[in-house]
Amino acid sequence: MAGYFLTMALGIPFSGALLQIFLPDHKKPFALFRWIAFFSSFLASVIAISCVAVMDRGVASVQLSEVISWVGSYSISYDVGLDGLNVPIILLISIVFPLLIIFEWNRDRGPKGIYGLLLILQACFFGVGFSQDLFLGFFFWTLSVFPLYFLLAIWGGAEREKAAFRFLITASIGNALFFLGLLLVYFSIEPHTFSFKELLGGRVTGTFVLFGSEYSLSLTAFFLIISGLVFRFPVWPIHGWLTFLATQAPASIFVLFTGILPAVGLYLLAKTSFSLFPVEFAGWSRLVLFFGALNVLFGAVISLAQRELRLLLAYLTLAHCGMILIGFASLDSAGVTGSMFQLLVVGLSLSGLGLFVGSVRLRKGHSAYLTPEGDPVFGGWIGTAPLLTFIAGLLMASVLGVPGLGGFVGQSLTVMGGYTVSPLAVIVLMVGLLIMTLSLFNVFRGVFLGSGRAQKQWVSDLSAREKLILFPIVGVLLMIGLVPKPFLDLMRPSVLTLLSIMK
Amino acid sequence: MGLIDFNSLQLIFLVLLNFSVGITLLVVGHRLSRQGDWLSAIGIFGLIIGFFLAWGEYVTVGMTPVTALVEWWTGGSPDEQFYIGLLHDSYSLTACTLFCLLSLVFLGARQVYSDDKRIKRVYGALPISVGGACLCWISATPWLSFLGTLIVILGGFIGCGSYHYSESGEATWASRYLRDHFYGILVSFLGACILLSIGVSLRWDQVVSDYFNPHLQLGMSFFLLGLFLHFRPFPFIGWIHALPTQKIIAHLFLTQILPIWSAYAFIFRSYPLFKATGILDFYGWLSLCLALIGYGVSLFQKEKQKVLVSGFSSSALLSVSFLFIAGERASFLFLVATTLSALMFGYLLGLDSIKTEKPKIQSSSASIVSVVFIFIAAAMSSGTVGFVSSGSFLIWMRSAHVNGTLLSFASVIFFVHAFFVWTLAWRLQQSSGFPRFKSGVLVSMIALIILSLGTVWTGTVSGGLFSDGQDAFLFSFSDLLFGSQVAFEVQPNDSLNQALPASSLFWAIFLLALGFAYAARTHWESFFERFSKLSNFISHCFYIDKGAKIAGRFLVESLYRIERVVSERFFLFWIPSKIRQVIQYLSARGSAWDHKLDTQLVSMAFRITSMPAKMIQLFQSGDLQWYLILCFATVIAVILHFMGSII
Repeated sequence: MAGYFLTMALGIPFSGALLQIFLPDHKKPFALFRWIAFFSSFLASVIAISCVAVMDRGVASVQLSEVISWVGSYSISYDVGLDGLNVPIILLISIVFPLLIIFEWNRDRGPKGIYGLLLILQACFFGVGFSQDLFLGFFFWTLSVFPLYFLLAIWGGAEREKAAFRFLITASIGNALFFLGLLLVYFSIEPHTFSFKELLGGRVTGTFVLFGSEYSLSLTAFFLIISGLVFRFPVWPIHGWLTFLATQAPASIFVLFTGILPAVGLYLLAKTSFSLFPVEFAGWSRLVLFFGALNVLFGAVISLAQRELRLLLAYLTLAHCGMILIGFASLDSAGVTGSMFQLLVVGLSLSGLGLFVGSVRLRKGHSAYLTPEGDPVFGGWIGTAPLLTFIAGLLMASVLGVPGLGGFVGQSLTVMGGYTVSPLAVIVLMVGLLIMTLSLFNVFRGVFLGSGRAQKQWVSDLSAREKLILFPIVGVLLMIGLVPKPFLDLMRPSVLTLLSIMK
Repeated sequence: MGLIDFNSLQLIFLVLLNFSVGITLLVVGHRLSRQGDWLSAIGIFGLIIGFFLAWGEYVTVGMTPVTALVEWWTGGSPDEQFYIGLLHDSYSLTACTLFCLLSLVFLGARQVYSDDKRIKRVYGALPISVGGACLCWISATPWLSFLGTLIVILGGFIGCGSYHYSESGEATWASRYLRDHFYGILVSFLGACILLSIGVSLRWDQVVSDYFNPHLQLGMSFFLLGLFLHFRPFPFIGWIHALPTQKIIAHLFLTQILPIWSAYAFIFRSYPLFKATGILDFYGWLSLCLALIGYGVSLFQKEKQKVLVSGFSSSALLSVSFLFIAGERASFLFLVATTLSALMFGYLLGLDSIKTEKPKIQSSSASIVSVVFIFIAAAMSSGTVGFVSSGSFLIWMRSAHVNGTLLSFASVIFFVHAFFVWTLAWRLQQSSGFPRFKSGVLVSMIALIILSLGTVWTGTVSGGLFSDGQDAFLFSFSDLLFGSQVAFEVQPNDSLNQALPASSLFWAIFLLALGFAYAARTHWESFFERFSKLSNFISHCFYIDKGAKIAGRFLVESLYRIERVVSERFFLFWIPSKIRQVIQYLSARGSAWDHKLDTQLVSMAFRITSMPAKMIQLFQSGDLQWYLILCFATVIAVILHFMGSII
C-alpha cells in the first residue's frame, strides 16, 4: 500500500464519484453528497500534495513511480509518477478542485451529478498529469472530454447544448488527430512502446510514402499530436469554442475551461514535444513562437473590447496560453521553467478570477460590467466590499506579474528565456501585458471604483464560503511569489535534462 | 558581497511593522479616529530609530557601503540567480531618514487636512508608503525595490483612494494612477529581465566596467523608460486633468513624491551602469526635454494645485537630467530641494483651500507669515543661494560649461525652472487668504526650511561647490545627526576657476527669471482669456490623451472585427457551412449512387437468378423429366472423372 500513493490520489475521486451513484438522491439538503464529494477531492489533493512535498529536489528522474502492465500485448502500461514537469499541474488540480466543490456547495439542481462529474474530472486530470505512458495519458485526456461535455450541457446557460456540442466536436477532432499521431509513434519504433521513458530523446524516426511522396514520420506524428492538442486549449484562431462557451458556463465549469484545461493541455504539449519530438519542436519552434505572440496580442487587444467579465477572462486565457507558448518555444532553461511555473500561476489566477466572476454573478445575476456604450454597470464596490476588492485586486495583480506574487517569477523567467531567442516576441509579449493591464484596470475601475451607474450599488463583502475558496488561492499565489525557490528547484532538473537531450 | 556585520532583518522588520501599522489603521481605523496619527507616527518613529542605528553601524565601519545579500531564487539554470538584500550607504540612509522626517512633518501639519472625514486612510497609507519607499532605497538589487515601489503605489492608492470611490471623476484618476505606475513597473521589469538574460548582474554594489552591447542598451532603455513612467512625464500627462484638487497635500506626498523617489532610487542606483553603457547623454537630453515640456504644460494650468503637482514631476525629471549631466550629488540634492519646496507649497495650498467660518487673513496685508513662507518655498527650489538647490544648479551649470550647446540648454532650463517656481509663488501670493497658522503647521514649515538649507546637506551655502572650505559652514546632514563626517564626498575636480563663471551666469539667469515671473504675475489671467484655444491646447497636454484614446479605440475595433470575422464568420459559420455543404453533397451523391447501385444489384440478381429459377420452375412444373437430368449429370461426372485422370 505504501507505494501506491499516486494510485490512491487517482482512485479516490473515482471512488467518490462511484459512491455518488449509489447514494439515494431524494434526501435534501444533499449534505451527504457534498461531504463525500469534498472529502474525496480533498483527500486526493492532500495525498497528491504530500507526494509532491516528499519529492527529492535536484533529481530529474521520475519519482514515486508505479508501473503495472495494462494491455501487455500492445505494451500499454499503467505507468504513473512525478517529475519536475508535472508538479505544477498536479498542484493546480489539487488546489482548485476541492475549492470548486465548495463553490458548488449550495447547488440544488442535480448535485450528485455535478459532484460526480467534477470528481471524475479531477481523476482524469490527475491521470494526465501522473501518466508516464503516452497511451495512458491519452486515455485520461480523452476521457476528460465527457465530464466536461455533460457539465456544460446540463448546468450551462440558455445555449448550453450548442456550446457543449461545439466543444465536443472540437475536442473530438483534436483527440482523433492526437490518436493518429500516437499510432504513428507506436508503430514507428521497435519494439513498439508507449512509454515516455523509452520514447525519450527523439527515437521516432523513419519515413512513409503517401501518393508517391515521402514524408517524415516523426514530423507527421509531431504535427498530428500538436494539432490534436491545439484543438483542446485556446489558440488563435481555433479558440471560438472557448469564447462561445464562456458565456454559457457557470462559474465552476468556466474555471475548468479557463484555469485547468489550458494548463493541462499545455503541459501535455510540453511533455510530448520535449520528450518525443525534440528535433521537430526545435525545428518548428519559430512557428510556435509566432503563434504564441499572435495569441498574446490578439487575446490582450480583444479583451479590451469586451463588456462581459467571462468573455474578458476567456480572452485573457488566450493571451496567457500565448505567453506560455513563447516560453516553451524559447527552448531556454529560464523560458521553459518560467512557462512551467506559469501553468500553476496562471491556472490559479484565472481560476480565482473565474470564481470572483461567479461571486459577481451571485450578487448581481450577471457579469456584464460595461454597458454597450462603455459606461460602467457596477461601481463603488470598494466602499461596501473592501475584502472582495482586495482579493480581486491581488488576483488581477498576479495575472499581470506584479512583484511579490507568483506571476512575477513566471513572467520574469519567460521574458528572460524568450528574449534570448526572439526579442521581438518578448516585446510583443510585454505590449500584450500592458494592454492586459489596461483591460484589467478598466474592470477594476468599472466594478470597484466610482460611484456606480445605478444608485443602489450595495453589495455584500465576501461570505465565509467565498473566503474559504479565494483565500487559499491568493495565499498560494503569495507564497509562490515570495518563496518560489522550492518550486523552481523541483522543476529545474527535469527541464534541464530534457533541454540537454534536445541540444 | 560586502560586509554583513549588521542585523539586516532589523530594518526589514521595521518596514513590515510599518506595513502592519498601516493595515491595522485601515482595518480598525474607524475605531481609532483620534489615535490614528499617533499610531502612524510611532511606526515611522520606529523606522527612524532603525535607520539611526543602521547609520551608526555605517559610521562604525568607516562609511563604506555595506551590503547583505541572500539568494532569493534561481532561474532556469543555476547561474541565473536572483538576489535580494540590503545596501547601506550615505544616500540610502539619508533618503530613508528624510522620508521618515517628512512623514512626521506631514503628520504634524494636521491643520492642513484635519477637516477630511476619511483622514484615517491617509494615516494608514502613510506608514505603508514610507516603508515601501525605504525598501526601495535600502535594497541592494532591483527586486526588493520593485516590491517597495509597488507598496508605495498601493499606499498612495489607499491613502488617496479615500476620496476616489465617491465620484467617478476621482475613480478615473485613481485607476489611471494605478495603471500608469503599473506600466512603469512592467516596462522597467522588462528591461531588468533583458539585462539579466544577457548576463548583466543587477546588483547595485557591483562596479560595472565599460562595455557595449546593443541588447544591453535596449535593456537599459526599457528599464529607464519604465522608471520615467513613474514620473508621469510628457506624453503621459493627461492625468493632470483628472487630478482632484481637494486635499492636495496627501496627493502630493503619497502619489507624487514617494513614488517618484522610489523610481529615482532605481535610476540613482543604476547610474554606474548607465555610465558604463554610454547612454547617459541621450537620456540626459531626453529628461531635459521632457522636463521642459512638463513645465510648459504646468504653467498653463489654471488651478494652482495642478501647477504644483505637474511642476513637481518636471522638477523631478530635471533632477534625473542632473544625474546624467552633473552627477549623483547634484541630482540627489536637487530632488531633495524640490521635494521640500513642493511640500511647503502643498501646505500653503492646503491652507489656502481650507474653508473656515472665521474670516481669513488677507495675505497681502496682514499675513507676513504666509508671504514669508511662500517666498521661502520658492527660494528653496529655485536655486537661491543658501538653499541646497543652489549648489545643485551651480554644479550642473559648471558641468555643462564644457559644452556650449549643453550650457545654453542648461541655462534655458534653469530659467524655466526658476520662472515656474516664482510664478507659482506669485500666483499663490495673490490668493484670497490663509487661516491662522497653528503651531503644528508652523513647526512643520520651519522643519522643512531647516532641511532645505545648504549648510545642513553639504556644510556650505553653495552646496559644496567651493571645495576648499571657502564658504564652509558648521555642519552637514550627517554631522547634524552624528557629528561625524560629511555625508557626500566633494568631487575632486571642483575648483574656484571653473565655478566662478558658472556662478555669474547663474546669478544673471536667476535674476532674469525672478524679474520675468514678477512682471508676468498679473498677465496670466488675461493671457488665458485672450488665447483661450492655445492655452487650452497646452493645458490639456496637446490633446494627446484624446488622440491616443481615438487611436486605441480604432486599433481595438479593427482587431475586434478581424477577430469576429475569424472566430465567428470563418470558424463558426463559414467552415461549418462549407463542411455542411460538402457533407450534404456527399450524402446526396452517396444516396443517388446507393440507389443506382441498388437498382443495378437488383437487376443483376434478377439476371443471375432468372435462369436457374426457370430451370427449377421447369422441374417443378414437370415439363422436364427427372431422368434426363440424371442422365446429363452422369455424363458430366464420367467426363470429369476421365479428364481428371488425363490431366
